[in-house]
Amino acid sequence: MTRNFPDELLSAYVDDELTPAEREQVEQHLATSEPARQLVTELQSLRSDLAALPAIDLGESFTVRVMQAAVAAKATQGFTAAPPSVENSPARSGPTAAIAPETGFAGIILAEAD
Amino acid sequence: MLFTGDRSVGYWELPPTGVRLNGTKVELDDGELIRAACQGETAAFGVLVSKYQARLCTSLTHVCGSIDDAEDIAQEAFVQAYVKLKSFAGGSAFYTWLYRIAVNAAISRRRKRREQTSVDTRKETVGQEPLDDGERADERLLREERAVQVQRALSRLSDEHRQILVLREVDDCDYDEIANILQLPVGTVRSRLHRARLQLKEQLDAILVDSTIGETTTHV
Repeated sequence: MTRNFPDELLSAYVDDELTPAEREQVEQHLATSEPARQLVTELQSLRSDLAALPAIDLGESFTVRVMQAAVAAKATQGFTAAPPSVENSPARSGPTAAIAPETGFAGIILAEAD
Repeated sequence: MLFTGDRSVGYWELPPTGVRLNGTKVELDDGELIRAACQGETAAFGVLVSKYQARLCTSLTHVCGSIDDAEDIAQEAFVQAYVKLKSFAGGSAFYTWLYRIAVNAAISRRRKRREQTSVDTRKETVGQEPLDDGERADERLLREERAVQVQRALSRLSDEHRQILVLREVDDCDYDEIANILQLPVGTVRSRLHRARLQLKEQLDAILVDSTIGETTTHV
């Protein structure tokens, strides 16, 4: 903590998550505190480092796998899930494999998340 | 009928991400997709999966430190979301709701934790990121080295610090969204995020010192 100043305001400052009054307070502090300016620079650098972490792209095969598991899981809950309609769709070029239930998800216990 | 698939992948006809009206492509918002899925248009949920899978898996990978675990948790979260879709009240964004399901799934999974594959190991098997044409080889190496150091520093943080940093910096959630996902007051989000950043900085500094000492020793 820079002297008598809550440093967490500096984090919120680099995140642009301050009220106008807090922002003014921070800017006044930055004008007179070299350590605070240094910390803001370091916080901005950390933000850039984290934002540059590689993204994961799973592709369509993941989507297909999830949808198969989702329909199978719903079916085990007593619903009859219809596969997506293929009306007016072009001929399929891929295999027409039946839905393969993902055993790891067939017996999933749902925890209420909200 | 909103969806008439135009890409064939096995059994599933992956739908387009929007519909065309008078020749103009109109992106469907999450609410429309959810309503369609609830009315039995299963493919509408496929659009939601396709839309959010990369974001969710990227975030989970950096939280878990394992792509394999992240994929499994993301799949489990999507499956649970699909089964419970009619209970989604729309009080928050769909992604926020989905992420909370994923957090619960991750907690449940941790109880029966299995051996993890590290991000680094998996990267070797799936190949490197594509080259950016505008980036020189030495710049790319430096960037990758820095990413490895940051991932290592992240892995040394507590779960709650790693989680909140990833939500903010990788997932680009604002404080309200983070508060909603983690069920915390916004003031706690602010203070925890700051402590997490200070911890990350401390760990990164230590890693840099270690690597400098290693280089010095090698050159002696």
